[in-house]
Amino acid sequence: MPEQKRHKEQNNNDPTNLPLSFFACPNNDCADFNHFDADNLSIAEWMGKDKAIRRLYCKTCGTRFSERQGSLMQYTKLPQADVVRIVKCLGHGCSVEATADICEVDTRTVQRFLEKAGKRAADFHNLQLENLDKPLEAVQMDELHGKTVKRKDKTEVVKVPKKLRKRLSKKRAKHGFIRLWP
Amino acid sequence: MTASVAVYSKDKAPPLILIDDHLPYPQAILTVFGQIKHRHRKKGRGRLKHPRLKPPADLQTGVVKKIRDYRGNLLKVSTKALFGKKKEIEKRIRKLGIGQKINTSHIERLNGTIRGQQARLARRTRNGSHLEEMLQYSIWLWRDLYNWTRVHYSLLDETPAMALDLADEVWSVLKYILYPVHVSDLQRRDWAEQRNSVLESAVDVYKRNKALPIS
Repeated sequence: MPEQKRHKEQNNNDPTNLPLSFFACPNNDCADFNHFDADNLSIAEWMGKDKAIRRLYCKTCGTRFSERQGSLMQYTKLPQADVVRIVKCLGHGCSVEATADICEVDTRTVQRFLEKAGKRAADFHNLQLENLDKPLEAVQMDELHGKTVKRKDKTEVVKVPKKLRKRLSKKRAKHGFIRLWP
Repeated sequence: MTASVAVYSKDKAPPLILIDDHLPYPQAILTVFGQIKHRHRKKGRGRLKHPRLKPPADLQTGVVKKIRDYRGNLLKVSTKALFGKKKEIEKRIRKLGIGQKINTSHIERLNGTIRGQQARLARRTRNGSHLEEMLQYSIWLWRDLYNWTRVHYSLLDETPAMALDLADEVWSVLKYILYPVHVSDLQRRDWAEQRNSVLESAVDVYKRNKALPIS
């Protein structure tokens, strides 16, 4: 089992250097929702343990939000360098266990990151395609086969009435439950 | 796959489509891009024939067919036009600069890259995904990193996003991680609706909209 939570130090230089034009208001009801470089944001306060994360304020709707909102760093306690390493490993096709070993984190952390990053990647891709002005000129289509382990069907345990228990075998009737296989 | 092509062609002329001889493709392309074809009764009695789908006039589709012997060795690669004329398709291919004849070489190369870079998709591997969702997530993540952070030699050391004028520079992985992605539920529903509407063929729409007899 790899050692967990190895890194305590965090390089806080990079995110603070990001200009405010890099961010957008995350409030759906705001007129400047998802508008980058709209000149509507200001820094409300610094938060976090080391006071390294900015809380931004939207002048249009008055929402306050963390600069990490919508990024992969949202709701994570891992240092930035570790998150970059995890994403790089996953992007180069390392398995979950290999990534966990390389980055010295738990396998469940990697799985959680993969799920989060995958969903975010789909949203990011769709958002960027909306900005695409050029129409498609040519498309090549091909199929790619992959293999997954067959998933076990979900079974449901149901109580059997006493009348029906006689018909069941002794082993099953003893407990009074049967499993329904969909 | 054909649905996403149709969604992003944005009510413009359908793109040039190049496929291999996988059986479901012709019907899928017709379902997405096809127009309704009313069939008239020629003579005599009988029930009216049901409407069918026909390809639009500007749809051009080329097929690459591999002919193999009984052992699976490749003997010959033949090409044909599924919709449109073969000469016109080849002319368009040359004009776009993606080859001389009908081919699927670019997508085959991409498939090779993804198989090489994702352990889950490698052939004869024991690292396969247990869950289908995790495989999907890893492919989505790989696609984004491939399009935004990896430099391509054939694009003169640019990323695909730069080639499409979506980015000004090569993104670092850190920038990709920190980039805020805000998507509302309404927008997600809108995307799903767009996709479902494209997947509905012209015949289905016709049947749905057909007025029932009053009496």
